[in-house]
Parts: sequence; structure tokens; C-alpha cells
Amino acid sequence: MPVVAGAWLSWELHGDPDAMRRLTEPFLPEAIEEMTPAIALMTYFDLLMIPIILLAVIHASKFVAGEKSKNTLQLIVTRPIKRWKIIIGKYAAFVFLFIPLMILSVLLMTISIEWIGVGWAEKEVFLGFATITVLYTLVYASIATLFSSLTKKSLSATLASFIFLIIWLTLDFLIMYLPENIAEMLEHVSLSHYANQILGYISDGVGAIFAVGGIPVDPSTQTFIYSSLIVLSLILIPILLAITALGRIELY
Amino acid sequence: MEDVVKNLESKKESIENNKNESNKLTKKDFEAVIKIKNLSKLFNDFKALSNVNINISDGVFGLLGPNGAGKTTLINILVGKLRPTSGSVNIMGYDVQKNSIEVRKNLGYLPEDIGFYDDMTALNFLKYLSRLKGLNRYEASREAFKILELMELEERGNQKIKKYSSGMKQRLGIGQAIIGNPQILLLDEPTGELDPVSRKKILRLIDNYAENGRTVIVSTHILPEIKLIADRFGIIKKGKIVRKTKMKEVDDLEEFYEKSIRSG
Repeated sequence: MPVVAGAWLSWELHGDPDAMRRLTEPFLPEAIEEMTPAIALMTYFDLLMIPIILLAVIHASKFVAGEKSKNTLQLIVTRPIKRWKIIIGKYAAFVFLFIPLMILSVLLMTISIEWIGVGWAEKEVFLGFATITVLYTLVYASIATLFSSLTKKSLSATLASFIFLIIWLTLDFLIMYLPENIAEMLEHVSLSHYANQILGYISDGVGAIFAVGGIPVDPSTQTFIYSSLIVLSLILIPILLAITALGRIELY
Repeated sequence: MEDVVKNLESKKESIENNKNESNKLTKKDFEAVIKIKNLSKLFNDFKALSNVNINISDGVFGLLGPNGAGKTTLINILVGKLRPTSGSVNIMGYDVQKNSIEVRKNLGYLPEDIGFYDDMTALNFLKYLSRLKGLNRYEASREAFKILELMELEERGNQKIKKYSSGMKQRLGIGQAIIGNPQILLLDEPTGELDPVSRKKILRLIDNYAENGRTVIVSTHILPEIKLIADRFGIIKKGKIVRKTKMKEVDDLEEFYEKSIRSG
């Protein structure tokens, strides 16, 4: 679905600078007038955000809470396996199942934007978008895993994750419109800020078009490593907290 | 049901005769597989278990008591679902808290409120839990088939669990508990609300399993059933073990139980 929607949108906007300007002016500091493969992929990425959230959250919310509500968690925790392995095992299964799917959808989009005449995305641009798609999926799944460990029902975990992510994404979006000093402060907790730097580095500055809040379009290696570590911790910290929570759970 | 009762009773009689012994403490009592010492469990201010001391050796041990007495809490501590507030539990020489993995390797457990993956087939369910028990892919597959046969479910092995009757689910529940042939089996209300036929099958299974030096703890409040299969029993009331004795020492279990509950 997102591939079709992304391709259609790119096709509609391709060769129509006015439409591009009208569409991007209200949302970006600088309006975009030309449809390039990088912009088409960015459009697609924005569209992909909804399925990513839905898939990652709904699936990961069931990891522990789903087992609790079905009364099957007791069958697992009474086996001779460490509880941390339960979380890691379920998360790993998610990664193996969904990550290839995400990469495949970015690849399909890359092929479709060439097919509609926008042109081939450079290898670095493709890699950049594939990377941040994977990272966003992993971060959202980690957060849902944490809520899954803290709640008794999958639905509660799903709702809690959605509420958290909506607040987080809204904050991310508002950063562009906030005064610079506040925006700079909030950037430290903004996933898109770090993802944009990773994207900018991998795509040699072509992919990271939304260089807001003074982010260099093509950041240094040091900045890239720093951003990667932050995103990695955004994946690992919720997982570690989920492991701690599951380790402390008593089943009545 | 009557033929099972007769079979079990005659079997027990012959065992008793072979033993040819009085009710004195035997070596077996000192070789307890499960040693519970000063065990207490608090849920906020509620004392679910209070200073429980009990040693359990091989054979079938009945854990009796009214609803809410603490039977399930005790079993939950043994399997590691709950942590004790104080005291210790030692299973086959391993502390349940410090060596939980080693303990669980030797344990099989049937929860009272067992849940199933309804969309899974019984075969895959058993394979999955066998893998979690530490068996490799080949062993897990072999074990799953073996258990399906033992539980007389082999013809329905490829059917989804959601299509199973409650009796079949209960047999599958016991089946998952005996994966890997554990030395100790903990069964929380194994016969539940089953029909007489399924009940008969399950009692026979438990009785057979306890042979060859294995330990089976059955938590229940259905006295006629435990009378048929248990060698020993303990009565738990308000979190305390009020009586523990051998089944053969008791002539009328119902009367003994009622007295114990009243006086304890």
C-alpha cells in the first residue's frame, strides 16, 4: 500500500514545481520545487511511517502481554530458560520477520520511482533510507516491547505505545516551528533529529533534506557515530527495561 | 470409574504388602526430593503461606485444602512463578531461587488455569515447549509424537487446539508437563471439572507416571481421587500445613480431612 501511494504521489508531483511548492511550503522551512529520487523516497518514508508504527506496535505489544492474557506465559517461564531470553527471542523473531519486509518495501519504492520517470536513487540514498526505516522499526518495536512487559493485556500495551509514540512524533514535528533555543533542547530527545543525521551521513547529504535546527546536511563521522549510538540506546534501553520488568514479574 | 478404582486399589494393596512395613519413618523420608523450610509468602498484608515446613519424597503426594488455603501459592513458588517472602525451597539439591534453571530442568508443571495457543496444532505446541525445555529439533519432534501417543491424542495431533474438548486440552496440559520426562511433576487441580472418562484417564496417567521413583505432587480438593493415587498427603489451611501423613495411616480420608480443617 505505501509503495503504491508513494509512487502515485511522486508521479503526480513529478514535473509540477507549483504543486511541489504548495505541498511542502507549509511544512518545511524551505519549499521544495523539484521531485528527485531522494525526495520521492522521503515522501515514501513519511507514508511508510504509519504501517511501521502499526506493525511494530501491534506485533511487539503481544510479546509478553499477549502471553499473560492467554495464560501461556506461565508455560514459558517455568521452562529451563532465562527470562531475558524470552524477550530477546521474541524481538529477534520480529527482526527476522519484519526487517527484510521493510528493506524490500524501500527497494520496491526505489524501483517504482525509476519506473515513473523520477530516476534512479543513488546507492547511498537507498542505503540511507533503508537504514532509517530499519532503525525506526526497531525503536518502535522496542518501546512496544517495554509496554508489553509492563501491562497485562496486549490492548493496553498497544494503546500505551500509541499514546507515547503520538506524543513523541508530535514533539518531533513541532520542533520545526518552535523557537530555536527550545528546538535545540528538544532535539536531544528527537528520533528524527538523529535519524536525519544518520541518513545525511550515509547518503552523502542527498537524503537528509530536512536540515532543521542547524543540523548539518552531511554530518561528520563523529556526529554520525554519536547519532548511531543514541539510536542504538533508544533500541536497547527499552529492551533492557522490558527484561528487568519481566524478571521481576510474579505470576499469580 | 469403578474398574479404575478397583485396579488402583489392588495395585496399592500389593505395593503395601510388598513393603511389609509399619508406619515408621523410612530411609525414603530422609531422602526428600523437595525440602521446604520455614516458607512464607506475603501478598501485601495477606499471609498466603506461613512458615511452611515439609519434605516430599518420591511417589504421589497429595496437597489438600480448601479453596484459598495456599495450595496454588505453594506450587507457584516451587515452579518459580512466585518468589518466597522468607524461607527456602530446595528441589533435588538445588535452591529454587539461586538455581532456578537446574530446578526447572527437573520439573514438569500443569497450572490450574493453563492457557494454550489456540491456533497452534497440538503437535506444534508440544514441539515448541519441548524446544523450550532444551531439546533439539529432532528430539523435540520425537518427544511431541511420543507424548501425543501417551495422551491418546495422536490422531488429533495435527488439529488446532481450539478444536479440542476440555478433556483433550487437559490431557494435552499434562502432556506438556511431562515433556523431557521430569523427575518431579507438579499438577495443580489436574482433573478440574472433567467428565468421568477423562478423569479416569488422567488418574491412570498420574499413577503410572509416579512409578520408577518419580515424584508427583497433586494439588486438589477432590478427596476420593487423591485417595486412589496418593501415597502421602498434606493438608494446608490458611497458609499452614496442618497435617501431613501417609495415606495408609488414614482409614477415612473425608473424616480425617474435615477434622483437620476444623481443628487446624
